[in-house]
Amino acid sequence: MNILLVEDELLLQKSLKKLLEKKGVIVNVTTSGREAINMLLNQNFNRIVCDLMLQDISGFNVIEEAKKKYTLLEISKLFIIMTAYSSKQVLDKADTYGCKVISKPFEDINHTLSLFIEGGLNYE
Amino acid sequence: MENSSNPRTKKIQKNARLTAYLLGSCTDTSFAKLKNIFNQIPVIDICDSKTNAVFLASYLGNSIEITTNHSLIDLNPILLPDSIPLLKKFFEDYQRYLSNKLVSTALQTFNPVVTKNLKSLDHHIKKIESGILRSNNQQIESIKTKLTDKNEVKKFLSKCITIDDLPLHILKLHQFKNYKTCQILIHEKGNTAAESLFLSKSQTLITSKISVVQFNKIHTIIKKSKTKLFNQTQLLNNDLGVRGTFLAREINLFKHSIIIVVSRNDFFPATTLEQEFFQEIIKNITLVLNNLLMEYLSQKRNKLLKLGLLHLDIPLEICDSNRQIFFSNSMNTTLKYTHQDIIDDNYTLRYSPYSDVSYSSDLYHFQRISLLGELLNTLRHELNNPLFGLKLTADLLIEDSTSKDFKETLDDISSNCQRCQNIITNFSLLYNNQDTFIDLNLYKLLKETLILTKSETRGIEKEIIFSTTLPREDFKIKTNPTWLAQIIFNFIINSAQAIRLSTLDFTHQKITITATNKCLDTQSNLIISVTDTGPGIQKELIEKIFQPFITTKKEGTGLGLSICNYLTTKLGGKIFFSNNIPLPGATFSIELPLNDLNKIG
Repeated sequence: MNILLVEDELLLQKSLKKLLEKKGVIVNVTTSGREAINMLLNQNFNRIVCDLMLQDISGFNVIEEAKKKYTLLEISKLFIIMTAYSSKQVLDKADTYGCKVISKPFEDINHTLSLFIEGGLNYE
Repeated sequence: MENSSNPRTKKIQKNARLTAYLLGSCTDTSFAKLKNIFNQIPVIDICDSKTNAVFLASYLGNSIEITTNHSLIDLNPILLPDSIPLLKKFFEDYQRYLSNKLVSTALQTFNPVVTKNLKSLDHHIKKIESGILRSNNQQIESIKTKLTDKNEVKKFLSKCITIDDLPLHILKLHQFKNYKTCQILIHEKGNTAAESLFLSKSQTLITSKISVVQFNKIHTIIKKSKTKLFNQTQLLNNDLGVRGTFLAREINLFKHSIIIVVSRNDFFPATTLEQEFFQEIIKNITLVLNNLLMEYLSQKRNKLLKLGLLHLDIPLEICDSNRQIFFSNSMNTTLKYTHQDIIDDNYTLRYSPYSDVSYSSDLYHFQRISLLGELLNTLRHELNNPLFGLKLTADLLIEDSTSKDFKETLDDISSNCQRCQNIITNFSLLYNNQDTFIDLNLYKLLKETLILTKSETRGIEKEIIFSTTLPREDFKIKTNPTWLAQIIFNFIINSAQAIRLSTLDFTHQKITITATNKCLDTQSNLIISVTDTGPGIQKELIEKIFQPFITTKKEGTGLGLSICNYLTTKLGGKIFFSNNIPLPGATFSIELPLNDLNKIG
């Protein structure tokens, strides 16, 4: 299991990395959206957990770039979006990619971790 | 042009008599002849001084040369035969012309265009006058009619001050004495409707609107016509009030198109003379019409403005320097106005901009909500993320940590992060503007609200008391949590600020929040009160405490309680307060009905 975690809040990134590693997952991290694009185009991940509000670009830009490599169906299974701004517009846009959206702060951390590992199948 | 300070002008205005100075030597026989002729003309006086005379006359054998000596008259020297009737006529016409000229001088101060137009008319008259002298007797009659026509137009123009009067004055003209109706259509370019002023003889003016499409149709037909003489078969239109044949003419001004229609309301076509006169009138009206129109429009604007002020929700009055009311839109003369503005040296505007408490509170409530809501939303998102990270990290470290001390400290960090998040969430809930009613636990809501007031109430004892009839932990009420929390929040903040302002020692100070139910015959009500031990409400504030902008605090907006009042009404309840006599402090309460909407869970 190989997860790419794109999160610019360092404390959160560190904690999530640690927690996921405890579950036996290989975790690659980055704070930058552009770097995330590079990584996902050059390496293969089982899951990409991506924050929406990054310093350089938006999480949606990352997903758009991922279209070069993956089909829409693959994207909907590969990506999980994290956001602190779960407004209706954001949810609607995420819906067009078919990705699972998780609001921060997480209500149940263990449930969230298992979602990351087992996959964010929408409409479960 | 005319100089009113000129003594000669003044003299003419006073006497309205014509004077002539006779040139030549007293001993000369021709001079005696001239004097004899002038003595037989009643309208003219012979004058001894050359400077005061209006005319200068000299005898040249069979003819007399007349030149003007007056600034009001620009007459080139003319030669007249020494015929007494002709001279008499000449001077009589001039006298008429001069007295009219005086009207024009009076007009000049406020309407230069009228004067200018009159001047050109005068010129015209003069031409005709000279014509009289050169023509034979048959021609004189027709010229005379023309002259009277011109004079008529001149009189007409000097009378016409407003557009409203225009139809009346047109119908009053003696050439139109058989005409029954006059209609004026005014279209301001770019407007979707044109205005119609319609006057039937011996009736009042009817104003109405017609569509611009109709106006353009009429306008086009009239414009294409050469004779400007129409009958209903050519121009059958409901918007024209005339019947039978009629004269019509279009006028195009800078910003307006105008149509003038006159009719006898019968089927006989207008005579050539009438047609000519109509054209003459239109030609002359055109020159002054723009001014009249501007005047008319500005009057209309003023009327609308006044009407608007009368219907304004804000009571206001305008007083002159003697404090006499000049204008007021309120019947209530005893009204106390809260605001005052000086308009200029003479007038003062006094008004109460926030008379309608519910309306303005509504407005200010939404302003406050949207501003704070936005701010809190940003704050929530910006703080939630790092707080979440902090909490997650602390939680992780707790699991890794072996030292009990470390674990406890990390626990504190984690729970404090959680508390911060809760406070932020509660605050943003307090200022979101959802108007849904939900079942909520009252005690929990009061407790959460109390937490939000922590900084203001620091050091002051607080207590939440539920009456024994209410199950404190389980009591539920169906209401709007945001509004209720805001009301209670405001009450507590007010109490805390009142206490803080009155004392620095909080040992005996207390804020009590009480919930009781009051059973009436048909239903039971819930009363939530906030009681403090502060200085209470000053007597003079008691009546207007719920009005907006009434505040005792230096930095207060005076909006808090007026918003509370408004929100309580929205919750279907009542708001009231009292001073805790004989105890110190005040109690603010709201009473909510516990009916189907707010049932006990």
